[in-house]
Amino acid sequence: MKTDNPSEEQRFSLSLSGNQSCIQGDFFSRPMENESDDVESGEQISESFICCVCLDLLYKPVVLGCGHVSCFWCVHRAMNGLYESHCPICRHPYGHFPTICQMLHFLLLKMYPVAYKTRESHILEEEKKTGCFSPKVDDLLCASHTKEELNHLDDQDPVAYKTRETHILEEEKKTGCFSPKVDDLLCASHTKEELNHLDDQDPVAYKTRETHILEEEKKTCCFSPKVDDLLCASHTKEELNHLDDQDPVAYMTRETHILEEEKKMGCFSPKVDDLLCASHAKEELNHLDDQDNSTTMPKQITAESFKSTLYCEACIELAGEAIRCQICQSPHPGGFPKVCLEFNHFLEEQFPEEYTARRGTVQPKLVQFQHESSPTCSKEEGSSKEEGGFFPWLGEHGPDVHIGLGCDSCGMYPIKGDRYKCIDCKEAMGFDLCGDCYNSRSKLPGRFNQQHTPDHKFEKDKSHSLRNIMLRLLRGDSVDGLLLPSLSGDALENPENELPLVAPLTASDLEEPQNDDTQPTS
Amino acid sequence: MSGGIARGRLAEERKAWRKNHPHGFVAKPESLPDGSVNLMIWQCTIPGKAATDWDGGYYPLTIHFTEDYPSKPPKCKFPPGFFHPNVYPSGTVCLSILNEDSGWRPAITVKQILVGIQDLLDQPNPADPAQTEGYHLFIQDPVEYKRRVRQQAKLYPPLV
Repeated sequence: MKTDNPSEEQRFSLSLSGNQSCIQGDFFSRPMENESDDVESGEQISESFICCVCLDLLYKPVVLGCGHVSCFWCVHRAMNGLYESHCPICRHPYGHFPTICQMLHFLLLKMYPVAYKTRESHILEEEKKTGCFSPKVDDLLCASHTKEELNHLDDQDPVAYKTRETHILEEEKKTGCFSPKVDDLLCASHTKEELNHLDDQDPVAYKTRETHILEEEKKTCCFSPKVDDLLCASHTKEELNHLDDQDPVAYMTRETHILEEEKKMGCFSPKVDDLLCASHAKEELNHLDDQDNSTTMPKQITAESFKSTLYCEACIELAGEAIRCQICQSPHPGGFPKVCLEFNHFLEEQFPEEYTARRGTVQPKLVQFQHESSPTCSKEEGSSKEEGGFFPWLGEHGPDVHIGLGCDSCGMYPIKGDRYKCIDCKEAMGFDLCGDCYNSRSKLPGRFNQQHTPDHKFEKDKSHSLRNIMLRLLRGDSVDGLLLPSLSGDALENPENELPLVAPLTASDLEEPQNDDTQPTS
Repeated sequence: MSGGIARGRLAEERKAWRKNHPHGFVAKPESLPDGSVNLMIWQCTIPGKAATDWDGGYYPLTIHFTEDYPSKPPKCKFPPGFFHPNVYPSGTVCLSILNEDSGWRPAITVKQILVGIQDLLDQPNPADPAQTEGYHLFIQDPVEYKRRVRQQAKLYPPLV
């Protein structure tokens, strides 16, 4: 992954003339602006699901280690190609680009079908313009399934449930044979289908979505680690259905759902139950640090996989004893994850009774899990301290930072140390791996929907490392346009292009951040 | 990634502002002579806080957004020569939340910026001076500083 990072801070430094003359015109300009935007769908979007960066409905939400949610592209754009990045909401530092939270994605799709689809089409347009695509979440299907889905539309739910089982078997057989590329090709047709849904009425869309998710479940049989995430996505959906239903019904169906899930998981790996518990522990610990929150039985699963989907696929350095996603086995990068408050709030609101009930049952366990994981915490703390300072990676890796390039497996951004570049991926984004992910033969797909397959070849690339850029600059060679601005913008930490004042004052301008008393109170 | 979200975000900011904004404040995108609106430059007014030396002044502020907004903070400018310890001679406001490397977060809204600057007016930060005159008077001659602030307030009367 690459970013161009044009820091055009000084671009507007002129143009101050006439700044008072326009103020009076406030009343007259109003009719010119378009006010119809926010009523286009009639869906009332909860404040919780508004992205703090684009102030629009979250799209392909990503949850950071601090528990804050933002859109995939919003987070990516806000990341720093040279230093560690900071949460756009709380400035919590992090160094790995998280993956999309599938559960939240499906939740939003279910809650605000019109608005979410509109966002999707807008963003797809943007992506087409730039040639960089975000990962597709819901179209990992195969052709035969598409047909079947349409059949399912006509059918009733019970039938669908039964066919699911056979689908899973089929898919398992299939996955033994076909190469990863097949899926990608098929995606195209799905996209079309999705667009059709847009035109359709909601009820129809709901059903097709359901089947989409089901198939995704089946699909996941091939990639066993993913299974839980996707399954949970379907739960989300189901839970939402329950929202529409009456509560009593919901309770009952939920139980059976859990059973189903258990059966399903049982087939794939006997470990699943253990994994669930383990990852619960993680979540519970989080609760300790933050609010006392907990979930009901079904929600326990969702909330937990919610977490893991988010945090799992990252990191290298902490592999081993560090926190790992219990679902995909990827270690969790950076500090201890915090509770996603928005999601917590959402669960509390939607399922008040179960949520409080769960709280009671979870409390006693918290104590136990605390000792078990505490060594992990301290370890994490230690490693995060190392990374402090002005030039966080310099101490550990030398100037071997690959500016603006991230690992497509663990999400480390920028890549520190060795970087391996796929020479077969043709996408503008490129496909890169950090040294550890390369060595561990990561099979994860790219972060930007690259059509990467395991048989692609890699080459070790050092051309984007800071050391090499500095060397080239010293020699007077030209450096890619992409890199220069990010260097000059970030490395020369001068926010102000002002004439120098008295010497001591200027020095403090450049170095010291201001005191807290200048922070706004809000 | 080019094709940023600056304009989309600013349109949302504008909507949010019109729905609700703090009393006495003005914030609107610049209107161009052809009747269109330039979302990238906002003309704002910050009222001095009541019961302070800044009271009675309605200070014009221009906010310059870049295409990198909200990843990068906007630049906020008072008229050149504005008297305040944390305002550069060019008028640019020096405030931690407007500094990409210290306090800026993409989640900070225009409203928060304006309220933050309003707070800064009456509570300058001597640790981070940006102009000599304002800084030295603030440190060495509080009486004269006060007088200058009040004098400046009269320079910026209410617009209505």
